[in-house]
Amino acid sequence: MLPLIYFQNDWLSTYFVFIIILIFIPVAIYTKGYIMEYKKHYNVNYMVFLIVLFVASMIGVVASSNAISFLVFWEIMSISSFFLVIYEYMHKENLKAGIFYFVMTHISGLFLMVMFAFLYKYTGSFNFSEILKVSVGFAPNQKYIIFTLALFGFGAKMGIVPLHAWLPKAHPTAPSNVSALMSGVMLKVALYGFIRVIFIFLRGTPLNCGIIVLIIGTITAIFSILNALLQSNIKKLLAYSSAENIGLIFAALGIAMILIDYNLKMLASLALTAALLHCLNHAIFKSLLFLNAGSVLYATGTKNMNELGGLHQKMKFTAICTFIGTCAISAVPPFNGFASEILILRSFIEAITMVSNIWVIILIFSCGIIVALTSGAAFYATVKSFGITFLGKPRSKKAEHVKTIPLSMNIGQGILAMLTIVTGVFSPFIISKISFYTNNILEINGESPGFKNETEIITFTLLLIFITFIIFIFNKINSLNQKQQINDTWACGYKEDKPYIQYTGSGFVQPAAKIFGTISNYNKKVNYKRTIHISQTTSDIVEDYLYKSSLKAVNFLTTKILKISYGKIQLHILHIFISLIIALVLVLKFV
Amino acid sequence: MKATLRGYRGSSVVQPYYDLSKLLKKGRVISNRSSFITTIGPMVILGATITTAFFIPVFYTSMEKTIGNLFILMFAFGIVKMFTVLIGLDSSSTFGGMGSSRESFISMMAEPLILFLMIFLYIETNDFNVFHISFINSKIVHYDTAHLITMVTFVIAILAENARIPFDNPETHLELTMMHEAMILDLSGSDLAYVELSSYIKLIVYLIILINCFIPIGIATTFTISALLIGFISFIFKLLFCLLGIAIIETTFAKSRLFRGAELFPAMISMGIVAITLIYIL
Amino acid sequence: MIQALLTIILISSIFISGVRRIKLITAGFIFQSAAIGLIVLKLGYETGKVDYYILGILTIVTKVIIIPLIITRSVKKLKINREMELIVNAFVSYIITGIGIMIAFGILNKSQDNFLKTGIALFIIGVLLMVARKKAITQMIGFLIFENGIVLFETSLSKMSLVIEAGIVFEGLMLALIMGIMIFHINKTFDSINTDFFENLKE
Repeated sequence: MLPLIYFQNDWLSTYFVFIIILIFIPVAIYTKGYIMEYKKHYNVNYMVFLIVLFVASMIGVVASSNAISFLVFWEIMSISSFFLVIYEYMHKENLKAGIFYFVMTHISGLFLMVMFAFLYKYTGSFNFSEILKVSVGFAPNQKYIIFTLALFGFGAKMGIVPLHAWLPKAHPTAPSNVSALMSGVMLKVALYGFIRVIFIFLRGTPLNCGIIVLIIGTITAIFSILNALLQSNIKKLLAYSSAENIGLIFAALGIAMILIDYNLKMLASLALTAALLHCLNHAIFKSLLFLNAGSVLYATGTKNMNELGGLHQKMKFTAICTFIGTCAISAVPPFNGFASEILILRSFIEAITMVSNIWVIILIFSCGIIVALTSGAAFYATVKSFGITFLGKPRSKKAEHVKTIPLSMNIGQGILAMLTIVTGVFSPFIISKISFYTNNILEINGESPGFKNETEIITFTLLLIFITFIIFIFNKINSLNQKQQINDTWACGYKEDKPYIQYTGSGFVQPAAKIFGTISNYNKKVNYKRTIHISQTTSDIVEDYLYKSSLKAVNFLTTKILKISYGKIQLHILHIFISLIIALVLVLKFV
Repeated sequence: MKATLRGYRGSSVVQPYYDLSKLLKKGRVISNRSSFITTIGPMVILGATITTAFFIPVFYTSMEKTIGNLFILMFAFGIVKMFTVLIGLDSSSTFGGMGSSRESFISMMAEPLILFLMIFLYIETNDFNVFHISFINSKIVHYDTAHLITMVTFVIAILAENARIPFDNPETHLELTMMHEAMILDLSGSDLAYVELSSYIKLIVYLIILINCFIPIGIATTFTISALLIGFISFIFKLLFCLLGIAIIETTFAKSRLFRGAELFPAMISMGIVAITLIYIL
Repeated sequence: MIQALLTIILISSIFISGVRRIKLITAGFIFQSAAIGLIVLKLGYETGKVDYYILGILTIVTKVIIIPLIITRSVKKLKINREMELIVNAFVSYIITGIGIMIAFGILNKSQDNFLKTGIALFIIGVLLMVARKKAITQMIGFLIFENGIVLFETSLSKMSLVIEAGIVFEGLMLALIMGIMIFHINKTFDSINTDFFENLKE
């Protein structure tokens, strides 16, 4: 079967294509300026080519209506993103991170291939619309199999726990515009795949699947954000924050799945709309934040928050854009994060009242509480990132010598910042549009209720601007005859004005580190040599315990196997023969 | 009020207003390292707080389609929090960072309590609008215990968000014990006036939400003179009662250490769990 | 009325699970036992059976008056520090208590009887308290809470026999007396009642 490229006019695909292009345009503008950084060492055209290939393959994945073309584009996307991640190949650690990412993304591809193979086996076709027609008659254990494969396949690409370990490695090492694309868009492509499989193909799954999704989403969210709190590398913090938001979306999807199983389709549509809206919003503000981090890196040459500070004086525009991004991610009205956050919380709350099984209620309630904690922690983490990087005084020499930023980078950031505000204020319209289509997906008739009072956000914004304006005028009048002194900061009588009396990033989150430190393997080592040296490290706990032990096991096995076959040709032929027999048996058994 | 409880002649009730006007007359002194946050921050904070005041029912409520979504209210305080915390970091002093970090930590733990409050109110009234909630709750005659537990939980959340005992001492000016004060340490003059005023208003708004959602007895539901009068009087009465309660708490308890105070939060969450199970069982 | 008392029981148990000072724990325990006693008395008032009255009065006398007296006397004799470390920290223990209550209520959602559920919730909390603490006195209080749970559990059973009830109450009383004496002796021998050191007995 030739991998012909069929495109479809399905609304879900169009929505995601829209998201991809919406993010790509500002990032492209940004790239024009950012690439100047790399002109000295690396080949610039190569990066442009790869980015275009990457984006085109993502559009291909989202728009394809055929399983084979889906997989082909998925492969192209994985490979091009791998080359983009290791773009700065001169640093050796980047190669390690890149290879880790490569392995994970191919594991996901493997699961997806098996999943589509199963779909073929059940429905006899690779074409999505035909799968759709036949899938009505799926038995529950068929649904389980597809669900598990989809969970692992798309999950490894999305970054849910415990398949998330590549995220904090790959996103920081990629160049910032690539990180923006990967974090903002590529994760959403995986989400698109998951939504398509679960909601459209399977039309809802048994209750356990929804519960599993909800639990995994919540665990991902809380784990990632607590890790994010303790990072001092801006991009790692943002990568963990991406994982947290993906966890939130995943949890909302879980609620939708549970609700479908209870036949509460109206509420399921609310949860699904919340998830899709958050896809859009997160893409916008996360790309904005990554581009900001890129500007900081461009201007100062460091990603470590503890070395920065006081950047607002020399990088005013970037500071404002980062501030808008921080407000958006912390769900501050009237930016867009607020709209999707309240929709997600609403779907939790309303689900509690409607579901009948007491255990499910307890589960949703507990997950809701944890989700509230993560949104509080997201506030904490991103405020730390913005505040310590931009405000205050420079903490090291690096922050004092700031290069000016090319105009194109500013324009790119500015567009995304404006988008944040626009999607925030006009969220009611966006919500009603999306909900119309989710009703279609879930096959409900009639419009969705309860979205009417979201228009309050516009009233609120107008009122807020009006009142602040009045206060502003009052202030101007009041201060006409006043002196305004500009002085040094009060430091309780301390004469000198050193920058290191400021809080550091690590100090800022010290209360959280004390209580939640075990989750991120927080270690404080004190070396007593000639001087006292304190170092704080964090590491990813899942990576340490799960990955390293499984890698050790695999290593162990392979060394054992190596001892068996050390080069004799007869043994090799025997191996091939045995594997062939096993493969034949499996195929005969399952097909 | 606190002064009366302590037994010495306190300052007059309108003293805060005198303080504010004194501050407004002074010039601003800003640090040479602060940014636009300090410039526009206080004004935005005050603006946001006054806007929230428009969103809540004071002594009149009805069932019509009005503004007053509970989510917008709670997250509008997020604007205030964001700016306050950033002002703390902006001043590039150690105290600012300390105050900001503690305040972020406490409010991070207070978020689940607020969510729990919303869940509870929704279970009771099936609505998210504050006006509607107070209308529906004013019809209740018999207050069951789950209601009361949630009220206690919300009171703790109010104490946390408004920097009161046992989380913070609003009277101390010793740096090591400050949380809210530390963040605004570097402001003076009109900036300080705005932030102080907004923290007063914030407290009152929270209290009004508490009163009107949980004990809206006597609130006016119709637009008649007598109903409005009754509503007004009962409102003043309830507000004074709450303020008295806060004053009592502040005089009798001491500020607790950050982590000990933080332990109060999971206790409240457990109480919340009890309340939810109660309302389901009984 | 009964509902409010049940709530007091649950709240006091949450309170107990997190505080450190023994005086506070004793206070919580007093509240809890008083509430149980009042519930039993009110049940007696409603049904008119004499058994309930006697049980209620017994409960109140022993658990509200006598046992706290014993505890406070031992505390004074031993000059125990007011604060103690917990094996699980206070944060987690609150949450576990809450989750325990939720699970208990969830398991028994089908049955309509409130006392049953509260009783089992008290079981869980009592066991938690016994397991999660280091000082012997708190472990004893945990066991007494467990007994409270048994009392509640039994009030929900239709057939109630006075003898069994009286037996339980006296057993609790004996236990408290014995523990009081034993703790005193343990302290004299080892100079502390921290149960960690009991492991040293192995040698």
